[in-house]
Amino acid sequence: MKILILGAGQVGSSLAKYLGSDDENDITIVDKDEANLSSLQRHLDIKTVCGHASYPNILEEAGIKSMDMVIAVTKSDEGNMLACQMAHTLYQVDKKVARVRTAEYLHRKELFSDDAIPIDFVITPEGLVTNYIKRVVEEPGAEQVFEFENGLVQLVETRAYAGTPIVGHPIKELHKHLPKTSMRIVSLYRNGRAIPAYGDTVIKDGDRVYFVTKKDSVSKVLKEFRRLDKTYKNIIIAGGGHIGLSLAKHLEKNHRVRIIELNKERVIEIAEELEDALVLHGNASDEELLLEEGIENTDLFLALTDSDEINVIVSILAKRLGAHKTVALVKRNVYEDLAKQSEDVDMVISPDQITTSGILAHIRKGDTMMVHSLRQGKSEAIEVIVHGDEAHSDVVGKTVEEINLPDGVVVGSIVRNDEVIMGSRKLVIKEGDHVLIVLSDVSKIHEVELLFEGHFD
Amino acid sequence: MQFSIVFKTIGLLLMVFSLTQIPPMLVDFIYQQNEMQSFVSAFSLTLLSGFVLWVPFKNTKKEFRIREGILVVVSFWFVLSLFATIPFLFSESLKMSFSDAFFESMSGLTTTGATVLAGLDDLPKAILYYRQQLQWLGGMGIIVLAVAILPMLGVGGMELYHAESSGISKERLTPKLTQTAKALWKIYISFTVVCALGYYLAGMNAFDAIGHSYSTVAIGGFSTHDASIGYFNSGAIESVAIVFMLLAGINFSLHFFVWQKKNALTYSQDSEFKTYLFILLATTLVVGFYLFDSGYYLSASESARQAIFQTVSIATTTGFASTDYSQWPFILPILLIFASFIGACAGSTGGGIKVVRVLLMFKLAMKEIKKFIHPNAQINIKLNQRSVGESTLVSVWGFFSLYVIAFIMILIALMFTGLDQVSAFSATAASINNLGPGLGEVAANYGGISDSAKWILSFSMLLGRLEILTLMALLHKAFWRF
Repeated sequence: MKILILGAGQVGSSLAKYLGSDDENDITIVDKDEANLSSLQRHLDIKTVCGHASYPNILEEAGIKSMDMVIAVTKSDEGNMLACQMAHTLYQVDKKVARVRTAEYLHRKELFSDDAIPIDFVITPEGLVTNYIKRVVEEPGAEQVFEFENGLVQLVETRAYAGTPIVGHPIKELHKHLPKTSMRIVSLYRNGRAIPAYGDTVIKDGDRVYFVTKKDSVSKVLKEFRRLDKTYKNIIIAGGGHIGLSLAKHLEKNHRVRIIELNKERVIEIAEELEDALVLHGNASDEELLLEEGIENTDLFLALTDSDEINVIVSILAKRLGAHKTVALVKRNVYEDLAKQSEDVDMVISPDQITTSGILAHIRKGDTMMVHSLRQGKSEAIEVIVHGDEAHSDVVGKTVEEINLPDGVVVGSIVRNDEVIMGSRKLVIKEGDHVLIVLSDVSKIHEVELLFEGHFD
Repeated sequence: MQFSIVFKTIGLLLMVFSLTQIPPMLVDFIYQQNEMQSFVSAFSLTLLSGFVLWVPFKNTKKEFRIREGILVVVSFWFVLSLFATIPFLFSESLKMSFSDAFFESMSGLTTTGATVLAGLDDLPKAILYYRQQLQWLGGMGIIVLAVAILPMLGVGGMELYHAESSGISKERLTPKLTQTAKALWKIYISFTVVCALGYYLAGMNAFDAIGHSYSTVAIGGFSTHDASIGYFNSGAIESVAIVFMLLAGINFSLHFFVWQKKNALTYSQDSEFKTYLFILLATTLVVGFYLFDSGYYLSASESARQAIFQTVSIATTTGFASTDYSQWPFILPILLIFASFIGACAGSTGGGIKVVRVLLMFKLAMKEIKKFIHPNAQINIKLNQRSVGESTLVSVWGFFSLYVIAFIMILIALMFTGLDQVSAFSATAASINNLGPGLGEVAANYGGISDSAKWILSFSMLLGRLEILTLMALLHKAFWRF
């Protein structure tokens, strides 16, 4: 596919990296800043064009006429929208993806149609981040939760800790511990490397485990890998921006939410919108304020201000003062790595990474119903619908064992008539099944797609 | 430094380039001049050496970085020149010394076109063909060729591509590097085919037509005759040569855009192209007028014919001769050699400093003058209506100073080997600019100079072909500190 990426910021660069690693993609990237481009040009096999991403002459220089897709991720929302508009009207580009940060544009969904602003897929980092944090709050202990089939099936990422029932034992014992629960470990990473998850594989402390299960058994399974944080009750949110506010709105019914905001006007605004949550005017790095609000009894501290530095520092402070778990929103990669090394920040959330995953998932989504990229785009979990009968498909009527799945590709589960069946070697695949497949290595995707594609000739 | 990937790549490249020994075998098969043995040995030795280098490291998963790229490119040019000597050394009819053979292959691959051989007309056809083919392979750059045909070089290919010429305008024509390299070679091959046809129609026999088309589009200058193009004494052949030297001296990216947009006007929008034509035109006029005025040629038409051919040939750094121009009034050969310093356009197959660099330096000089008059003026240096970045301008000056330093050092070294000043000056210019023929002792060929001078000149040719920086970087101590 020929893809034009506008904007070589963090999202643009990582998109170029992941999309460019696929031999079938031809990537061209446009940015105003030569410095952003020269380092990309050195390391990636892509074309770079320096110039203003919403000027027609620059777009033409980048070869927009032959592009299959335009992804606009420059700093400016307006520029992104305008570029998509031009790609549509002047150059008839088939698919347009744009990042729009400002919530004000997003209130009117009808704006983004072929008659108005022709964008096929609007990606809103704030919305994605809010959803992401919501799921983290709802499943304590899980580092990431991905939903399939409207939440019927969940793919959960967690870390295995020493002293829990399963650590030090082979995987097959899980089924003895949890005889009634259907679940399946789909991939296992030790020290960043994938290791095959067989029944005899022994799980060790520090392993990163991905498992598939039904929504209601997530916490039961999680207990096998780590001492469960009790459900979060007391939550402090530092920063009342869009993300902070919408989270607070979502959480205030079932949790004790306090939200700290520095700006007086904004405090009044959010106080108006919130019912049960307590809105505090003050500085999140004010030790006295945190102590007064009972930081030592806080289950979850979310640092969601605009500033990376403040988020990291405030998280550390909250942790030292006794908050049980801290989460920091960090935009820049450098801080992200630093913050991950700090033991006082339990979880780092990167909007750029979430945005990248979101866009990648959207692009990958052809015939597949759902795509989630895992491990910063290196792995992928997809859901495909099986088409065709035994004569017209390579998979229908066969057991999972008989299908020639590439290495590192695992069938996690199957949803058949709203019933969840966990993947196993003897499972027979039928027409109309929704199959959840996990690929440790994204590059295998073409093989998998070919396999599941029915052939109608 | 990851030596495993360096060895692996060089081994792989050697195996691929061993195949280039096959066409000369076919030529010998046609003419039956007993040269088969030398090419078969060259083929098997190259293939075997490549295989031996490649096998131990074939599974290495190391990645290319800048250093490895530089090392592979420089050593591969060197290694390939080394292996290219085999047919010269093994040929019964040549009996060349190793220094001579290395000089000849380096001169071939770098498209310099300086030769140590005399009596070309009597040599076996296979050897003559092989010399022409060396030039053709070197013309577009052996690494560009490798990138085009070896997809397994992958991202590593990029480091190589950048290292082969630190070129000023390394534009990506297409998103994928392999496609860019392929596009360049497609244009290159089409020029070669049309040029060969042109020569054939203008009266050369098939062998000469193919051979000369190779060295014309490569801006090389090797010929199958001692008298070069002058052997044919044909206006038609000279015209074909002029057209294709001119075309090959243009940036191939520009050819690509013209071909892509199907609009020949694209040429006229490029400032480097316009400057290139202007320099050639001005030089031709001066040379032609002086030749006629001084009475060297009696007719104006003869003056014009020789002036046009010789100017295009020398200024694009090809080095074909339609006449013995070293006998011209002394100022003219010197003028032409200075024109060869400017050379062809960046991204062409020609040598020299490159028109675009000279153009930028000229604009910078004009800027200084304007700034002197208007101290507060903000003057941007523009190329094709676009401002050129400060870093590019600095690198142009850096390149120029390195060029001058390298030139002086080589000139002095050559004079130490006993060459007189005119020969040493012209030989240095002819080698570093990848031009070919010189003046004085080296006007006809380089057979008469000492072995040490030949080695110095071989180095100088590679220095010019790799645009100084790549080779110099390898010689810098910072390169080896890791």
